[in-house]
Amino acid sequence: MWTYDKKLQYPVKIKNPNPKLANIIISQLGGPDGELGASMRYLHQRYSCPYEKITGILTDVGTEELAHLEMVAAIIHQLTKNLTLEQIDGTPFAAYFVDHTTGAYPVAASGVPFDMKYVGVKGDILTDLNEDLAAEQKARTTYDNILRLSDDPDVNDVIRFLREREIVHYQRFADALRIAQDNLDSKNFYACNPSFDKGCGRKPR
Amino acid sequence: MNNRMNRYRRDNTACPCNSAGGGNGCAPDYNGSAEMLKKRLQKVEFALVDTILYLDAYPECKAAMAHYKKLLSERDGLLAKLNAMGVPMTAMSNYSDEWNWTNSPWPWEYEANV
Repeated sequence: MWTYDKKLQYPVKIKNPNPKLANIIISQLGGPDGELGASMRYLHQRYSCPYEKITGILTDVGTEELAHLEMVAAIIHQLTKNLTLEQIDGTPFAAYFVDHTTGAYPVAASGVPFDMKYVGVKGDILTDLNEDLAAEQKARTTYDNILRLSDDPDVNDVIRFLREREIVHYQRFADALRIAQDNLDSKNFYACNPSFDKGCGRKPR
Repeated sequence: MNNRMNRYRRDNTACPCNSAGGGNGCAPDYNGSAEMLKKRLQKVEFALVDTILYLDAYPECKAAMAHYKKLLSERDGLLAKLNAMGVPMTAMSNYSDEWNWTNSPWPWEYEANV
C-alpha cells in the first residue's frame, strides 16, 4: 500500500505565470512519455517480475515517478495561477482552458488525453525492461525539447532535475537487465520466458 | 460522533485485551513473529486510514482525534518492533545492516497473505 508524503521531491518555485509554457510541459503529465505513463508502466510490470531485486527496482522507480507526476503538476499549477483572460486569449493554452480551466488534466501537448496505450506490460521481464530503457530515453528527449522551448530559469531548474532522474533510472534499468540475464543461460537469453515458463533459467553447473 | 466512530471505540478502545490477545481485534503480544506483527499493523493502519478520512471532514471531533492518537501510538510500537527485527515496511526504514527491502514475498503474493 502507499501513504502520501506532504512534500515535493525537489522544490518548484516559479515566479512568472506562462500559459504557453504550461501547454508544452503538460505533456510530461499525460503525454506519451510522461510521468503518469511511467509510473503506471513500472508499477504494473511488477506483478509478473520473477526476480525480487528487479521487483524492488520497479517498485521504487515507479514510486519515484508518482513524485515526478506531482512535480510536473506543481509546475503547471504555478505557471497557470492568477492568469488573466488577456494572458490566456490568443495563446495555445486557450484550447486547454476552454475544457479544463486551470485544472491539471493529464493530456499530451498535442491535446490527446492520457492513454494506457503508451504503456507496455508484456509479462516477459526481458521485453518489459527493454521497454523501460526506451521509455526513460524518450522522457529524457522530451525534457530536452522542453529545455529548447523554455527560457524561464525557475522552470528549467526543475526540468533539469527531472531530466537527470531519467538518466539515473535508465542506468538502474540497465542494472536490472543485467541481473535478469545473470539468471539466464548466456548461450540463449531468449530460449524461454522467465516470467512465465517454469524452470526457465541458467542450468546448474 | 457517528456509528462508525462508536464501532471503533467498542472494538478498540473498550476491548478487554490481555497479554495473549490478538484474535479478536485486540492488540497482540508484541513479542510475536514478524508475520504476526505485520498482520496487526495491517489492521491498525486500516483503522488509521479510515479515521484519517473522518478527521479530514471533522477535524474538530475530539473523540476521533483521541482515537487517531491511540492508533498512531500502537502503530509506532509495531513499527519499532519490526524495525528492530530488520523487517523494513518502507524502503526508508531498512535499519538492518543487510538490504532486506527487496526480500520476497512481495505483498501481492499469496505467501505474503497467509
